[in-house]
Amino acid sequence: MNMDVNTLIAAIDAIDDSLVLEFSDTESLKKEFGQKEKRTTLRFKRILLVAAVSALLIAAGLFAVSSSDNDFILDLKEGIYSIFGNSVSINVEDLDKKPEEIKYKSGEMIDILKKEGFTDIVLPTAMLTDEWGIVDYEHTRSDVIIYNHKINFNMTNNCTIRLDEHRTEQTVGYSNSVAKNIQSLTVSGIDVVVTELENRICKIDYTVFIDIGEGMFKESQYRIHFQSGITFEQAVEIAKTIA
Amino acid sequence: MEDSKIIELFNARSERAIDELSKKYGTKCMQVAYNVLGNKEDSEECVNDSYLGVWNVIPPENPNPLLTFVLRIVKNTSLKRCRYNSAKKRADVHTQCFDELDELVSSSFSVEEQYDLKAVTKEINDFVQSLSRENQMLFIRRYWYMDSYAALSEITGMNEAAIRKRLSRFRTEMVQCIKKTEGVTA
Repeated sequence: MNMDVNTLIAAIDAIDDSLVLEFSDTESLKKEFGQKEKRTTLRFKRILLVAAVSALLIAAGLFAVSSSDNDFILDLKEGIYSIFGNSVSINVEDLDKKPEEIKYKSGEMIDILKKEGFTDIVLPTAMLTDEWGIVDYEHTRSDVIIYNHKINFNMTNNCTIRLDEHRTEQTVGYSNSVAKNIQSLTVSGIDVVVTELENRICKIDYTVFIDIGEGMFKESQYRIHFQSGITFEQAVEIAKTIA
Repeated sequence: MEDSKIIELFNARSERAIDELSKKYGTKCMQVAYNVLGNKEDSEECVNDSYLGVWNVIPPENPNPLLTFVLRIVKNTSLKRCRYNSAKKRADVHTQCFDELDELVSSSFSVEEQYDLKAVTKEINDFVQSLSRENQMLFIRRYWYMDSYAALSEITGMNEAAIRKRLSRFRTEMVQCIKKTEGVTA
């Protein structure tokens, strides 16, 4: 038979009785799943509290060290980071992700991604010139991350771009770095964090959150690593071209 | 009362069978009917019609488990009523649930493709079995019991947008599983 909505409903209706029975009692489900959610929330709040207190205690010491070291740049929006020793933890969840306006671009990489079903791509225009070319491309899929694209670019340097597209409720975590320099900037309404790691690798992190209507959202997390040849200042300039 | 005793009453053609059935599963029946119809009066009528339906099929049927057997009759009776009513009268919950699946089907399957219902059911069953317990619960409560997002939020404590996103992912994955069904002809 053709697949129509009634066939699909009939097929769902015929799934195993044991599964249907298991979830028949609303009150016991509330006890089982509602409590679990509360525990998670409490645990998360506790972690946040510990992180906040730790950050306060450590921050004074860190800034004392960094102020004596003129190389260190820490220029971040308030409330989106925690500092542990010489490690900076950015809470990706708290970054602004809703762009004011998106101009969808064209280019070789954009075309490849579109073929894979990865749409609404927001990348620095500085990287969509002839100077950059794709040398390697991987596409994987997992339970949490719908699409995971790893793209290796070459220029005068190596660059890896990792794009994760999520359709779950979770943004994938915190970005932890032992940073030499770190700066946040807002480009086209999106918060972008540029980091220079101790081994001189620079990276750009940002997340784009698009309302695709009817209560549905799509979230794309971008992580661009410059393996070498790009200075922190150049990475900041590239980040400014995200649009 | 145990299910087997209730079935014995049906077999003996005792009207107490319907009272006992209603006492034991009446709330759940009403919940499923209300999820589909969104209207108390219509739901009560459908549940009563369903009890009669059960009366008419036991005997010869000897269902085990009794609950899913009865709920299927309630759901089908309610869906029939829902289709009979004008589109305007459709309850929001059912419309949303129906529309989600309708949109999924129209965007994912071509009219040339032929599917076997049993094979599709097996794929969906395997897909649901592969989910975590919490995700199984969300899927079944939404697409079998036709719970609203508000009801699912009340059960889990998660916000509605998060549940929507998760279920949207399940729908996409379910289509991929159905597409793998053996014996599909184009």
